[in-house]
Amino acid sequence: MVATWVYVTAIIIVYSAICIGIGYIAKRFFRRTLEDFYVLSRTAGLVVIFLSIASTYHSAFAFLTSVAVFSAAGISFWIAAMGWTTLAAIWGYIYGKRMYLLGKVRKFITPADAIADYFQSEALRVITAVIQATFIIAYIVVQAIGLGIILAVGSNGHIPYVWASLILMLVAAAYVIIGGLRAAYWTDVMQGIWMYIGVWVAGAIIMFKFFPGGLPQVFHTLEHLKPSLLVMRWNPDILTSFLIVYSVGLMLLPHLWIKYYASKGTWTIKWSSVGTAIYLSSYYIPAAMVGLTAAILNITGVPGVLHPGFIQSLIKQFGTRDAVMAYMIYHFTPPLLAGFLLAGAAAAAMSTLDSFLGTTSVILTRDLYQRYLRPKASDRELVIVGRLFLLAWAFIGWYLAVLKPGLIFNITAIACAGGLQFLPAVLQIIFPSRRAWITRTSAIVGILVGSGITALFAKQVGGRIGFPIVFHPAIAGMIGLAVNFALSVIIGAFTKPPSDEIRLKYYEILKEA
Amino acid sequence: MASRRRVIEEIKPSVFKSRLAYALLGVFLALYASIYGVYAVNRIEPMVGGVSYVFFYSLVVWWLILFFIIIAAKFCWR
Repeated sequence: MVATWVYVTAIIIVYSAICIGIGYIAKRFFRRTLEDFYVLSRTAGLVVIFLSIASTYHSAFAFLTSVAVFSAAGISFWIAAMGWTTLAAIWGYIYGKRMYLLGKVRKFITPADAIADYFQSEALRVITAVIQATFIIAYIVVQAIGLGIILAVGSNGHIPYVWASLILMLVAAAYVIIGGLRAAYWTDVMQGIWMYIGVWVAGAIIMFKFFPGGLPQVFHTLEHLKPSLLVMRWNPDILTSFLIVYSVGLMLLPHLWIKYYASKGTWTIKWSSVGTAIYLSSYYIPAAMVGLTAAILNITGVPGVLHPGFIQSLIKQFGTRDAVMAYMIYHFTPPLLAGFLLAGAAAAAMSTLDSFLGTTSVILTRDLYQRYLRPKASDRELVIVGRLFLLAWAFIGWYLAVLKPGLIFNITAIACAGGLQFLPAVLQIIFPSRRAWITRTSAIVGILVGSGITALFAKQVGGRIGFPIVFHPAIAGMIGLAVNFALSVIIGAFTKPPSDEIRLKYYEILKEA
Repeated sequence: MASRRRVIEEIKPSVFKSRLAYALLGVFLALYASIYGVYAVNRIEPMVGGVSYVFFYSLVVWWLILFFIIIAAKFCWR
């Protein structure tokens, strides 16, 4: 009889081959321009934009860490997550539509294009590119951790975590290198469908296997075993931080930002936002089913399969409780289905990773290499350089993931908190006003100080270099944002505003938004 | 200076274009504020539909948010 791990590993390999195949097909449509490589010549329709935004937003964070956090914090995660996912969709519509309009007229490809153009500042271009590329690393690390866990658990340890992570990282890098971000957008469509079906199937099978009465039976059992999981346990300050950081902050990260440039119209953005709200938030219902079931099994155990306290064993093995979902799928679903479901988990991680790798490469290539090192480089040269940057960032992310830096939930917050620091400047750009509240100088100071504070106060960054006062990265991001806003407005009152000409141009573009 | 006057005269700042947009803004603010209502109903009993009281409350808030997002897209967003 063929062992479960052989089925699972084989299906993940087939899935990887399909992704690379899509990369090859996408290559045939490639027009050899930077605009086509990164923003599909601005032709992406509703299905592509909706599933691309939804699947990119939901990553290893959604498939793995949500279940892990449900098993530890219970429904607190749902209460916060249904808020931040729907808020992300609303904010995505508000700023995404405006960025689309600006990008179309002024030919933006990167976030730095918009910020540097409005404030007429090359310094801001460099600062935006460097800060975004730096904070993105945290998110790439998260996907590398997730992919390592998925294949290591799926192969039942036959492929060690370190190599499992590297193999799947290289698969994602390969199809983006071959087919550009078009391959990422197309694979996102497949991955978005696969991971959504996967999480619902996994949730239903695992929960009903142990609790035929469904969620009511799970709640009834937890009421006796661990009632604290059935109420809100997070304080209002951390709830507020999560609501803002995982919605506004995440949507301002460049991998999602440039998706709005790729859209073919505002209608597309409007209805993709509606779809995104439903998709993102409903995704956490089945995650809750598995997470709460895991919490019960962690207390009771399953004779011959799981021992009580199995989650603590996973923490010892992987350095984090993120492996709970993969472990539950492997042990409690039929072998073939386990393969499809874990491939769905890989899809969740890869659909985000590919966009991050592609986006980092465009930021470094366009905003730094082309602008300052080789202004006369041909498009062909830029695409090659972009591919090299992409590969370099994949290796950096993998290397840091090998160090097992902790829970995906917390590491993700570092990246999102970094994205949040662009909010003041973005608000000034997308909402034309008679008074320029934020100027070139104040934007530079605000972004630099806000990002610095975020990194310093974040437990996973400041704590490692011995900074005495540290918080959860989401709270660090909110402190950074508060200081950022204050400095941006105060310094903005005394420094030279953006030119009247550029403000009028932006107003003309946005007045019908 | 002429250019500056032109900016002031021509830019008509308005985040939202209609009364419906402002009404929906109020609705969304109330709905997101109501997420903090979980602290007022943060208990297991009485269970509603087999789930804890506070979880049921959060489900209702979620359904309302989704409902008004669809309404906003249909009648307000452009």
